[in-house]
Amino acid sequence: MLGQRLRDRWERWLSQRIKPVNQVILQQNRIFIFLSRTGLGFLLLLVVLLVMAINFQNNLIFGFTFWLFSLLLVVIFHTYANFSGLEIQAGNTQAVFAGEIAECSLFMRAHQRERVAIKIGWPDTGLQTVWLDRGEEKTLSLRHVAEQRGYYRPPRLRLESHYPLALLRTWSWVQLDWRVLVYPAPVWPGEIPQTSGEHEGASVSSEPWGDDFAGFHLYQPGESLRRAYWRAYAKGLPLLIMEHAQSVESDVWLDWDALAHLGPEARLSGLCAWVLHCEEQALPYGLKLPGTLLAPARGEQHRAACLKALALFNTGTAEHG
Amino acid sequence: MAEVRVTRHALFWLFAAQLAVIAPHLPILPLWTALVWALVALWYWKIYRGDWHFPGRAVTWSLSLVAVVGVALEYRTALELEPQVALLVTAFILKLLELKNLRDHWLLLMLAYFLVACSFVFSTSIGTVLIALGQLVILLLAQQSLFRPQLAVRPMLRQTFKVFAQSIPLMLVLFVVFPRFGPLWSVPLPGDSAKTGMSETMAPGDVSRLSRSSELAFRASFSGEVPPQPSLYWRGLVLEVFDGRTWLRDKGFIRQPLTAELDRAGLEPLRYEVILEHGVHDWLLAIAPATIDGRGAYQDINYQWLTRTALSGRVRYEAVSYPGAPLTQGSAYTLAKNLRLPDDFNPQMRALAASWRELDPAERVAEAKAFFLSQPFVYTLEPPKLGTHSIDDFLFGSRRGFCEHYASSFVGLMRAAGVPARVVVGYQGGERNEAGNYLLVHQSDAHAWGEVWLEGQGWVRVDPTGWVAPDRIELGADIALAGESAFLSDDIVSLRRFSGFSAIARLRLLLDRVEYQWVRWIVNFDSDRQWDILSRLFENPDNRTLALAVLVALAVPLLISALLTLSWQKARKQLPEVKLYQRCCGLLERRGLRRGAGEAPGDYARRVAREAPELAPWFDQVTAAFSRASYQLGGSSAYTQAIAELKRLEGEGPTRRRWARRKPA
Repeated sequence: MLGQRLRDRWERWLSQRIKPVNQVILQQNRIFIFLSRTGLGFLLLLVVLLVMAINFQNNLIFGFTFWLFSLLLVVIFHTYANFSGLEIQAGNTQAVFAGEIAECSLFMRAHQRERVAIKIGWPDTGLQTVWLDRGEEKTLSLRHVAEQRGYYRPPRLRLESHYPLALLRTWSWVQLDWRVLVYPAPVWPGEIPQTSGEHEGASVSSEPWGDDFAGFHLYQPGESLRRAYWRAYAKGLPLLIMEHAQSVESDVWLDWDALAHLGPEARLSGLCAWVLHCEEQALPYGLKLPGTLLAPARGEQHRAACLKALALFNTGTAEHG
Repeated sequence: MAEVRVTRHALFWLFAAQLAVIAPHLPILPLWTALVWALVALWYWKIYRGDWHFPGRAVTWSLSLVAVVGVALEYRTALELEPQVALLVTAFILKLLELKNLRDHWLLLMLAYFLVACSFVFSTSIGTVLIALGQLVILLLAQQSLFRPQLAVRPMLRQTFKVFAQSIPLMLVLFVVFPRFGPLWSVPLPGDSAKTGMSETMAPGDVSRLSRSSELAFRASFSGEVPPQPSLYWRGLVLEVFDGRTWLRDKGFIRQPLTAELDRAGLEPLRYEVILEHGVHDWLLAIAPATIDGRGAYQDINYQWLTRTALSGRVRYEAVSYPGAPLTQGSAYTLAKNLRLPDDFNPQMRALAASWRELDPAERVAEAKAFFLSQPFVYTLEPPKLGTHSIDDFLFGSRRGFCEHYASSFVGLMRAAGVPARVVVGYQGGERNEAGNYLLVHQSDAHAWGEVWLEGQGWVRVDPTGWVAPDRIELGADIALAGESAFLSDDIVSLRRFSGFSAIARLRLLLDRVEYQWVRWIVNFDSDRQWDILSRLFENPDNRTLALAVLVALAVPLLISALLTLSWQKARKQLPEVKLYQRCCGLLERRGLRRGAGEAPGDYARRVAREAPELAPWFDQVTAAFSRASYQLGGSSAYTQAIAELKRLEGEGPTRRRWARRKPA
């Protein structure tokens, strides 16, 4: 109980102290050093050696003990030096769907000295070890699960090193200013309802016959194959794509209100699934959200805009990004 | 194999560390330890390679049991230090078979440090310290190797020597200022292996055995002149019990402290410092009669200097002797004891001595001397073997013997003649190190002589060896025995064998001086020396100044190593191209074109072109070279070219160019 409260306070203090930054050079204000477990063992060893030196009245054991102790003290600076001046800069991130793994790239620059065995990462996902030569720059990619839609800010990064003698552990927390755009997880909510009464839904038939059949066009690379006219292709004709009146003429409206039977997050997930579906079908689609209206269109940019709108819906961060 | 995450080279470093730590211990370990290590290391290597599996618990337990039994059989005791170290070493070896993760790896390395420290219990010579330094380097390398994905000896060595060198000053300060006090509890001492030199019994052949050894017994430095060779009788133990062949110490009851006052009237005190060589010491050597302060030493009724608890290592003490002062303590019991002879031995000796019984005690001694001088006695290291009646065989048969034969037969004769007498063992003489003004006493200087009780004079030293071989006493064992092939024969490579060559002799004495100072100042550093140093540094230091001085002395080395480690960073933070570029900007600044904070080089160059078009060609080159340098890999040829160009351009900067133009004018 108390431990939890203390931990919370500690967390709060840490997050106040460690502000999100885009780029950071590790300095004394964020480098912590303490004895590692091996170091504690080493200290115990020193105590035993000291007692041994006293009991045997042996000056050489005294000298040896003091030397090891001095080593321990001097190593503080070397442990610190391994971190000090190391630069870390946030790189790009890729948008992901909620529940997927977000990849955050990161640059590490060694600058003035070699950096040995620096572990970096999020404690809950495991740290990776990095070696940098003097002046070297490395790009890393760190992975973390993005649970919720919206802008996901990966937790504080932990850097840790036991170099050079493992007696001391130096660590640092860095909050990099990463923002991963997380789309809602797509969950198929059912067929897209017809918004303009006359047309049937975007059902897919494998034959060109039907009321809304409007002709063929030649397959363009990148186009969805769902409406390919395979029968003709099998006979040696070029690959043809069936056009239906609806898909050409009428736009699909993906409407927040159409999913009134679902909860808000489920609605967003449903809309997300529809966006993906329409994009795959190459159907122009528009998105209607309370307070947001995206006119029907198609293509990568439109898709990204729609998904972003869904991701940021009611998160308070909507516009700027 | 999944458990082991160390790299192959880290494992090799661990093996190297183990070998380096175990090898110097081998002299005190059972020899099979080396074999066991090799087998276990091979076994672990197989495990590491994935060929074999880790042994099960049953196997490791039974192996440990076998090791314990092996050690027990080898030493037959667990109370001494050697079996304890042996057990530690076997644990250190067998732990390999459980080495499954990094933690075990660290544990092994920590144990290795401990074993290095253990070696100092057995030896404190400079050689041991050099070995330990080597071990320490290997251990530090082994420790670092765990952080390296591949073998990188150079950077590891560089790092090792950096931390090594930086920790020396701090270590020295701690060594000097750390308070030295007595043991917290008594500890087992090294056993027989550390006991060389004089034994506590004397049978024919015992002392001559020592003459084969060139080992040092102790060093003594006198505050004044070193006394002449014949007076250097280093009195050790008194042997009072004779069983017909061997002389023994009387261990009958607790040794009583001496009660008689030392009559030192009119005698010059002889002050000197003795440092006994490494080993376990429960008795001390001095020129009798003497006083020794400290070290828990006391003098018993036989004028032997004993310690209350055994001292280990190199024992240093200061003594004051009054040569010539009589040894007057002799109770009736002691005197009776010193007349006892076993009944069934040496009838001829008894018969000879019986004929002197009528004489005055001092005359009986003179008779004995006359006997030794009248017969063809030979002083030799290689006497023939003696039978049951060893004294008879010697006195009336072989007549060839070493000091123990002479001392033994003389004391036997005296006792048979009714004069209380006893054997004293110790050392006689010593080798002068003129430059160092001290005396080296070797095991080969071991000697035995007699003491007789003369009423009114007390115990008087009589050395029958001196009658037969005056050279031994006048010139020392080195010269008296130089012709004997057995002399120093244990140490074929000993430099002492070449004392005939003066260069080698000088070299040896020089080396010994180094060792002697080492022993005096480092190995035997104690609270006295500590106080010496501190009071030499500060006049009348009080506690506060001392505490302050200690703090400063500790802080300064730390500060220096911090600066050494971290200030490079400041100096190197500025990349050369940035430095050069900024200097060029500085040249422009002097002409009123200051670069704004955060102004990009491109923007600045454009502004320069607008505001000072005449400088634009030059500064465009600077900007171009700077950006080229910034985007090249440091150290590449393109980078060095760009840097060179920047340097050239900096030299051709506006202010300098004008300067250069003005000069010829």
